[in-house]
Amino acid sequence: MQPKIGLINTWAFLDEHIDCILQAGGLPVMLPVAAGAENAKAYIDNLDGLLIPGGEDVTPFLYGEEPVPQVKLIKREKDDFELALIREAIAQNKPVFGVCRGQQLVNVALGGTLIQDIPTQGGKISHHQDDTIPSELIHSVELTEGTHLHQLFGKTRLEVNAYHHQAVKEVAPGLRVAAKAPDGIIEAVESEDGRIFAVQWHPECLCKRYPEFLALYRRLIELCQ
Amino acid sequence: MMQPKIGVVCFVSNKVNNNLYGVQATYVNAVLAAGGIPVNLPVTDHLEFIKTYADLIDGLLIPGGEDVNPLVYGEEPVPQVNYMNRTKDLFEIALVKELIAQGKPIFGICRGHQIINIALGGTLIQDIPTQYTSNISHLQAMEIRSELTHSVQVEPGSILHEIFGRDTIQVNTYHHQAVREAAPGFKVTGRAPDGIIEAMESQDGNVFSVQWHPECLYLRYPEFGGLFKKLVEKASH
Repeated sequence: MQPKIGLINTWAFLDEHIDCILQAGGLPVMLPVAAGAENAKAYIDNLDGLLIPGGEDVTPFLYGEEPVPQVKLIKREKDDFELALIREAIAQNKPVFGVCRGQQLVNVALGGTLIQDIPTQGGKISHHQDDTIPSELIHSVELTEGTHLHQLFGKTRLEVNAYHHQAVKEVAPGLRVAAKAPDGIIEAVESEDGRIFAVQWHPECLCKRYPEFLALYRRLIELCQ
Repeated sequence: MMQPKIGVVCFVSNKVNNNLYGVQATYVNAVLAAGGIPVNLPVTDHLEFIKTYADLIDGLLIPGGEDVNPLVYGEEPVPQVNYMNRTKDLFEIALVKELIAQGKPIFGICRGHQIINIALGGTLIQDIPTQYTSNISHLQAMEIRSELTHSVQVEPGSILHEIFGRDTIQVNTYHHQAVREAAPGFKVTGRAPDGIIEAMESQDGNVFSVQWHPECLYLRYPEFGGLFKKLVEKASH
């Protein structure tokens, strides 16, 4: 049986995620945000794994902050629904894979905080490439030795794409840094057992041109079994 | 003598149409006006075809375009660098090396000027406004492409000097990156008043490049057509 991977019907590279999940041997299942947090348990009961894709900024109130002027696009219903999904998946020991906003949301779900705007809060390199070149690798990341992510790629240096202005600031209890950009921005986190993992870049846009990134989806599927 | 075939590297755009290969008519028309036969070269990952492409043409024009991906020359991108195409970088670098190996001439414009420099071991300023102290504009409005907006000091004895016949010219300007250190074996033949490198040429003069856009100028200011004529003339030998 193909493991069922739940993800919300995001606008951010949804087709690409679906392709990658199918290619890695999973069955994508769309979760409507309108169902709300109260249905999160019913969904997770019926799923084998969870993917949290990219999208809006996380509402700063959720980690105890007011928004800086550069934070404009937030959607509270989506935050609440996905946070409930993440917490329920973790409670049921089902694997969670976060991408971009997904990494940030996983971190917030477990008690971490975010850099609200990299350009004004300390980023030294480009973390946002043009919308028309999603498969271009634009900066490097260094994988932390001994992490599950390091093991997955079998090397310490990767080149990745970048579409974000926010990032993980304080890593949540239970998570650890698995990759950093040269300017110190956290590019990947994971739980000790590796069942929760997340990256700041967009592997869904890279799998066709650079197939090694499909390993992340294969990992999610493996963890479902 | 037969008219020489001048390769013109295509751009790849996802903006207009998914994966559209194209070339600005201004480059094609400038080559035609100079007496060359333009041959458009599509950018692909198939570097095994580079030799065949180089065999096919007598000279190469590398047009303007994206930023060169800084990872290609061992740097991380500064925040202002966000539009590039590594496939194109690698294609053009391989093409530059093959044409030089075959002794065929190359003329680089803007990005072309920069990629030649990277292909041969030079370095770039990634973003002039944030990395270089300058009090002149290197980015004029897109609507006034044939307007001359800053001056360039021309090195006596250079190809550039031969073409323009004087020490100071005025040019248009559309770039936020620039050559930092010229590649070994290259001499700087033009500089803006703020010191930005505006033109280079190889010792043998077979490879030459400019930071401005002569293809937008030659109709209004015919002397800029001299650059394309120089390429065609070298390609005819």
